[in-house]
Amino acid sequence: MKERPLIEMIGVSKSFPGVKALTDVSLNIYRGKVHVLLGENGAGKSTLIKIISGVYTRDEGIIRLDGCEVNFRDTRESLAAGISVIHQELSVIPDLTVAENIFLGREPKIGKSSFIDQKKMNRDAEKLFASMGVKINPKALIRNLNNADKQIVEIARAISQNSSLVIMDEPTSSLSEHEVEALFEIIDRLKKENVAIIYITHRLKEINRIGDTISILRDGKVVKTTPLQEIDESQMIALMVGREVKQFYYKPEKSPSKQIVLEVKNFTRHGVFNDISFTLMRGEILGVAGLVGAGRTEVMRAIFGVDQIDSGECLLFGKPVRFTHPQQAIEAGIGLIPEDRRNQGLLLSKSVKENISLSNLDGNSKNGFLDFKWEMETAKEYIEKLNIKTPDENAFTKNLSGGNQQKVVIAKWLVANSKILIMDEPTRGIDVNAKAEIYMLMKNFVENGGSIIMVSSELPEVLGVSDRIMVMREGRVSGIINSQEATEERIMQLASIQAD
Amino acid sequence: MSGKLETQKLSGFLKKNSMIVFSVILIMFSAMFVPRFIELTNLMNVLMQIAINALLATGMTFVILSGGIDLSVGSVAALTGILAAFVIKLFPDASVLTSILVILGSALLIGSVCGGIIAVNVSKLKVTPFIATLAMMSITRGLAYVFTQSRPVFGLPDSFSWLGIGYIGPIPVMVIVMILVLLTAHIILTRTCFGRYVYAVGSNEEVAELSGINTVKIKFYVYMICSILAALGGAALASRLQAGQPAAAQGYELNAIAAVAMGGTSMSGGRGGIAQTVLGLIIIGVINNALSLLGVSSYWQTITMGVIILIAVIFDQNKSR
Repeated sequence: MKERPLIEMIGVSKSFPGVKALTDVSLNIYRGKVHVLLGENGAGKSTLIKIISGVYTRDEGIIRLDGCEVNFRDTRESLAAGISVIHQELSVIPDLTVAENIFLGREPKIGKSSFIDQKKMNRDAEKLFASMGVKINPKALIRNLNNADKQIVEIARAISQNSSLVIMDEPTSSLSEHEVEALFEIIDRLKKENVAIIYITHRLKEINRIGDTISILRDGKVVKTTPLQEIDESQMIALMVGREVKQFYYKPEKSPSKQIVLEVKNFTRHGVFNDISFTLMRGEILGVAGLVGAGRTEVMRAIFGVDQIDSGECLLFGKPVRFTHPQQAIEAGIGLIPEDRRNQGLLLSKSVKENISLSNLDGNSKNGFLDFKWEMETAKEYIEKLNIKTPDENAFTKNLSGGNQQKVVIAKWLVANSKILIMDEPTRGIDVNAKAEIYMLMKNFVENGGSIIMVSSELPEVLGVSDRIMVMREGRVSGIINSQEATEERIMQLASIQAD
Repeated sequence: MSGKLETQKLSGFLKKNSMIVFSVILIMFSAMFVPRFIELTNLMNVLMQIAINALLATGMTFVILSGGIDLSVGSVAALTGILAAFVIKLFPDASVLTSILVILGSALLIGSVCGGIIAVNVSKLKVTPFIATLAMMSITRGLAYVFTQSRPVFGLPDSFSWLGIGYIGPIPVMVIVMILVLLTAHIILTRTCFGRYVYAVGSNEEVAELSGINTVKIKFYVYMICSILAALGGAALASRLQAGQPAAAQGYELNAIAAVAMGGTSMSGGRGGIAQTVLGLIIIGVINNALSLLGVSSYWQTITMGVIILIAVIFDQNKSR
């Protein structure tokens, strides 16, 4: 007889006003297996996990946990039943310690009193980390940890609740390759302890490494559930987008010219990065690889004038520049697309139109008065040019999907007539279709004489898009290689600390 | 079928504009049940009563939209009233023009000094607005008592009262000033680059900065505008009272914040505007006026005001969810 699934979903549907988010979804989740959910943004993955964890209630269908039908009304009930969720956005409290975060809401008490047994709590946390094979100080403040460790704390919290099902929503989106491997080892341990795992990701490469079964969602329906051995990457993409994607990465056809547009010499910001030197050619995409924390974002911020350098020099189109405010960098033709789109790239509560015009108001105003006609026409023009999917130019950007939000940010810099775009993790959290569109935009941009510096933690992306690749390690440049000679192994070697 | 759609549209409108609905109901009730409320002289009176709060609330709107708060406006107003009273006392035979110049001069001086200090603290030294303006509130109120030795400055020339209680034709001067200030502020916020930047800074300061907006400069101007308008309000109050009183305008910062918040401007910045503030001013003005006409004691008025503000804002909150 077949093993009984831990979670059995039969014909689950869910509608929101105007949208059918899930239609007739049936899934079986087994103990000791990693069940991957794959789908574009808006395909229904988040709705699905929110229904399992009790955030939403289903309209139709049955969910059984260990054979018994369950109706969770909130996450507390699902947690009590052994289901924990690790969200994509880190949900740890920065000003509490590691141990305090792990045991939040169920702190061990001294005897029967209301006082927290700090010692026991820290000891328990330490034991927990030992069993996971990681080393984190339980007394450290979350604020002082890097993203990877924060993620591990979240996982530790889930494990310490003795959950029988752990749901991970893009747990690797803020981790670098090296840290991802550590996470996977933890997942392997969980599997051995017979924990069921639902794993959501956009990174196809991870799926084969970690998954046992895969369900592909499209438009709120499960289009296929299959063991991973029986499916390959191109089939996954085809099922996910509903058609064959012929080409995924777009490399510029013209090779970059020899004309140097940006030259960074010996950039140093004490304690952050050291002696950074590189050049950027006209028409070139320069990939910047490295682990999270290698100082890549910080170098970009310094070039853009957000942070100040202690020493070094920057030549833009042959002229020495030193920006003390992004305004100057923008005027000189540089645009920055920050890594955290929602908190650094967009005014979420403002319209598409207002976001596109934001960096370009001064030059398109009359005596300080806004030119509404220009603003509307420009927005409309770029919505069409970049194929931004939005009801109209007045829609709030928070209601757009990740890919379309990113296009709005790009539109802002195209309107500003930027010659150099610094793109920090340009496709993070963006679905496959939109990714391909972003790569296409990048290709068009450099073929028209622009240049791009692309910071990315996704090696296939770095290899697929860049002309040259600069690798950083611990605040230094550890190598610059031509993409023809580059392989993932070579980059990882340059990026990882133990490679010395 | 179309009837259903109409109802949906209507309920959508009511939800979106709950404050407009609230104020209309309030005015209708007052007109029906409060004797003499609907008379023209009384309505003019309402406008007159909200005029000074309107100046403070206008500046407060800028600050709150930018994501900050200014607790010092009441004290800055009091200090300005005292300065204006001291100066005008030097000119016993002052003309109306002299009085106006003295009023404007004191407002500009105190407003820009206090506003400048707050602005430097908030935008350059990164002191949180709550603390920076709380400190300024304490300092300016203290100065007001020190300069007057806690005695009111009386015996001002008649011309000094023109701004506060004078009329141009049938309309009080203060009402005209209020309308001009509100209108100018509205145009600045909705139609200029500066206004747009105020909203951007309040929505997300980091995004604004990375988009090339000089957020330090924007915040500087915002606090300057707020203090100068507060100072003007204070001078106008002294003009109306015909005295500079160190205890004047006590608690006015709360009235200004209440007007802004009640209209529906987000306290975390980025959303709202002068139109909303006008609504808040009208609601507060009408409530106060109606309660006075009904003979409710001023202590009970304060309590009623607090309750109504809470109800209105809860109402508004639930709609936006």
